[in-house]
Amino acid sequence: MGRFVDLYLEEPENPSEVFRLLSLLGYGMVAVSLPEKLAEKFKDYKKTGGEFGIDVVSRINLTPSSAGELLQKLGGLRKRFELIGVLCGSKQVLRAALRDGRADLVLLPPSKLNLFDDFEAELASNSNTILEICFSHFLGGSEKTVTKAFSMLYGVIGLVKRFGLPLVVSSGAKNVYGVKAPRDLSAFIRLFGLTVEEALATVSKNPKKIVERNRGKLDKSFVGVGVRVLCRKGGEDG
Amino acid sequence: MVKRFRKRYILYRVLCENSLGKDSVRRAIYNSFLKLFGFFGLAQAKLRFIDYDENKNIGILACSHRFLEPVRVSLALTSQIDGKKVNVYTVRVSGTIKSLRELKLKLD
Repeated sequence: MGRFVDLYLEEPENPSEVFRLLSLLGYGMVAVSLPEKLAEKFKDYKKTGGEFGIDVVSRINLTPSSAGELLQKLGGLRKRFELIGVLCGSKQVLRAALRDGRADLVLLPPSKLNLFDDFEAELASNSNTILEICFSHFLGGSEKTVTKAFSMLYGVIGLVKRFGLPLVVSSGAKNVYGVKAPRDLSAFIRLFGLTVEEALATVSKNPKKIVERNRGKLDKSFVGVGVRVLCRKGGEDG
Repeated sequence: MVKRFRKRYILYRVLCENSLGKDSVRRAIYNSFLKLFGFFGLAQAKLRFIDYDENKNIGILACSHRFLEPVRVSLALTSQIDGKKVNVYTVRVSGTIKSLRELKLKLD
């Protein structure tokens, strides 16, 4: 099983083809994002992924228009999905997602990367929520928009380095054409000033840590942070 | 003493529904790098298009070892060639071309 992790595939068109390529590129864990009503399809994705040695993680992406809407949605979804990503269109939503422990990842549209500034970086440093950079956001845009996005990304990575924040880079692929090699993704983020180790961690250690933490919480034996049921009365293991 | 220029060879694959011509691929790779890093970057990177197999959709590039990552990124950011959707990804990087040629023969 590969050591790399891609935390964002957007409802892949041809799952077996996508998983085959991911496995070839060295991925061992992949998160598939589906709308809430299609949550049943995760079973099929997990089965197909298993055939190629890929551990599939269930993910949902929220695009709330206000902080209130985000908090309302998070309540019902936390126990149903292993990962929750929030696409933040405004500063209020971004701050609410960073303050609330239930969101795992915050994504910013390339035109709004500048929403992440000193205050948000400080919030992120005291939170479990991690900033995610989606590579597909930088594909196919006009020269002007990509240049602007790169310029803002420079600022974001500067803050990430200054505050020592973990970062996740994902492909955001919808089909085989969007799937990228993990070292290509780490090379991309390294251009903005991260070291080799930090850049590789964005596609391996950092995303894996989030999934393991969440899976631990979703486990039946989990009671609270640091408290776990080891054995139940009838001899049944926790 | 001036440090010797070290090369890196990159074996890459182009995923596309149709077969692409060697010239189209060469043009797309150079243009993508130029768009990102300009002529000065291209000169520094010493990017060289060595080979492209139109049947296997696999090719080899050479560049300065200092510019390996920018070349990887410019490949990854190539999303269209001749108006067709493509995915260009790095298969392997090596300091010698021989090992990549051997690997290229093994790949289907």
